[in-house]
Amino acid sequence: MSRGIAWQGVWTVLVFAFILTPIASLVFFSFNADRFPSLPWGGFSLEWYRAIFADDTVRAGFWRSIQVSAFVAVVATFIGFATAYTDYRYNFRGKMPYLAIAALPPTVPVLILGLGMLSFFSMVNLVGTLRAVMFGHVVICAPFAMALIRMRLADMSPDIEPAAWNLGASRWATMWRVTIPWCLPSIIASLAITAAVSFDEFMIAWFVSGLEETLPVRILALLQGQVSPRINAIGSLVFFISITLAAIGQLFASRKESTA
Amino acid sequence: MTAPILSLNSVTKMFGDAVALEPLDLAVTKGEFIALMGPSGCGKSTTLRMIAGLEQPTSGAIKLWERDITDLPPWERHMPMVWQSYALFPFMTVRQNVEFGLKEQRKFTAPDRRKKAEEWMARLEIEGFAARPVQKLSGGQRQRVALARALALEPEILLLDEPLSALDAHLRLQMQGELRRLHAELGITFVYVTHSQSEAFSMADRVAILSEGKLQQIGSAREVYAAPANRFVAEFVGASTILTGTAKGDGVIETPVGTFHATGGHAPSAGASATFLVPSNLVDLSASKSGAANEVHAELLTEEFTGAFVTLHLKLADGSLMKVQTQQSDLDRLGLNVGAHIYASWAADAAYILEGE
Repeated sequence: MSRGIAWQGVWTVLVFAFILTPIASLVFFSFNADRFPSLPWGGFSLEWYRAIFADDTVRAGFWRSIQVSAFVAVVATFIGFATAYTDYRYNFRGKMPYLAIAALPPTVPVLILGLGMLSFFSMVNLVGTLRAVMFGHVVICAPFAMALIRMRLADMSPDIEPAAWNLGASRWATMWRVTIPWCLPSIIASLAITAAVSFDEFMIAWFVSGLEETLPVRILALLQGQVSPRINAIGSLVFFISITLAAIGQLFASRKESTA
Repeated sequence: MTAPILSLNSVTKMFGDAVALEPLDLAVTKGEFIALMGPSGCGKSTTLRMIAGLEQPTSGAIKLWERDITDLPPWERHMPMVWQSYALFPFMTVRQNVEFGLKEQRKFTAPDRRKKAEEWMARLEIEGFAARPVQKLSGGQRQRVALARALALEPEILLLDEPLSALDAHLRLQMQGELRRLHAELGITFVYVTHSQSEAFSMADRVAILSEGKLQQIGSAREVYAAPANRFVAEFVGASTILTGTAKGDGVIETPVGTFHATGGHAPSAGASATFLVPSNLVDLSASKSGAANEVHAELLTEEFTGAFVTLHLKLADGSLMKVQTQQSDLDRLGLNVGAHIYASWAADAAYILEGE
């Protein structure tokens, strides 16, 4: 019995090691003074971080990615909330197709999405703008927002909103005083997770950003030019930003309480 | 008669093809405690939700003081409701819940609102929990918060939808007393939905009994109890044994278990089928045949002990059941055991003949 459990422990550690070793080594070698990521350790250094902060193209990419993910987080969460609420509050003909379409984008291969957006945005003269990246990311992020908020709404007692109406709160007042506060944890989770998805996203950004490179696009361009330990430093930064956002998302998404 | 505070004029409700409520006319007097009672699916909750504006009637009109409010949205009706699920706002404290409706009224300043909330919390003895999140409260406490939240609006009409059915028996009795006291003190009109006969009969001035979307009878508990309008009401009230036979004229009714004299209630025409009730508390028992006019032989099936009284279930010759309520002391005197043979009798004027059937 205890042997079985011990083996399970070993196995779990192995699986985690398999998943995390590449990331750990990336972070580890980003602080290595040597040019090449190999042992023995060449001494601790922040040189590569200094180098990327000195690089204007990286700084510009970083700034663009932040703008995009902030916009995407807000807009995708708004659309996600609206979609989830429609599903919660109303019954109508064609509700199933409506939800299916709303959840569709992440199931389409990103390559196809990217190509589609490229041809569409070029028709409306948006290719090569940061707005194109923003719109593209909203499309893939809104379904995540909807899924998160819908889960939360499913736990809201169906009597809660009618109780607010009954106490004199109009639909709008009820939305602001009851529904949104109830959904707040999932809204925060959705903001964090959609920001993380957008911040990392490469394919769509690569297709439609043109010269307005976001950080992931910039990173790939750097890699193609030269293999430099600077990549490790950028990679570590991106990793910590994404993991922080994802952790915030998880923390709020998993909050549970009942309305009874 | 004064104008009713609330009236329903031929109100109906359909859900798709299903009839939830057949045309219902109801007039509620100011200050009255009226109960809508019936088994689940009888239309009582739908009726209440239509009064609150949470469901739209398919046809008919709802009037508040003669003013048609059928199309008024719920937030303009000022008829707060107490819910079976409590429906408290889970992310708010007790105080915030109680202040919720006051905030919407916009006629109070923040300190006034606070004062009013304090008053009602004190009245319902929940002021000690004011700052607590409602999720930390027990069921009984939650129901008090729900009541305070509704009453703080000082409405003319309070709607209650099975408010006690989620509570345990002890608490339910206590809250029944409290609701009756509040009703007497406040003079507010209560419209109370319940499936529980004991709740309705013990609290309400008038009881409306519904079944399958139809109003079966409306009247005081005493009226409904003593003179049920039909078999459904009699069965639902459950206070009597129901026997059916053929009327032979002069109050004689022939049934499969014997021929009886019945003089209470309606007089059926000779030859017609007739149904009469034998109130379970007016039946005399004896161990041997007494020769009384209305006597029936039975077998004792079960006894239910409920304090000073015992409810006996007897099996008659044709297999139908008879309910008898008697005192524990009488039962001891007879020395009866389950399975014993027994004779039950009642006076001709104790039996009540139903109209029709």
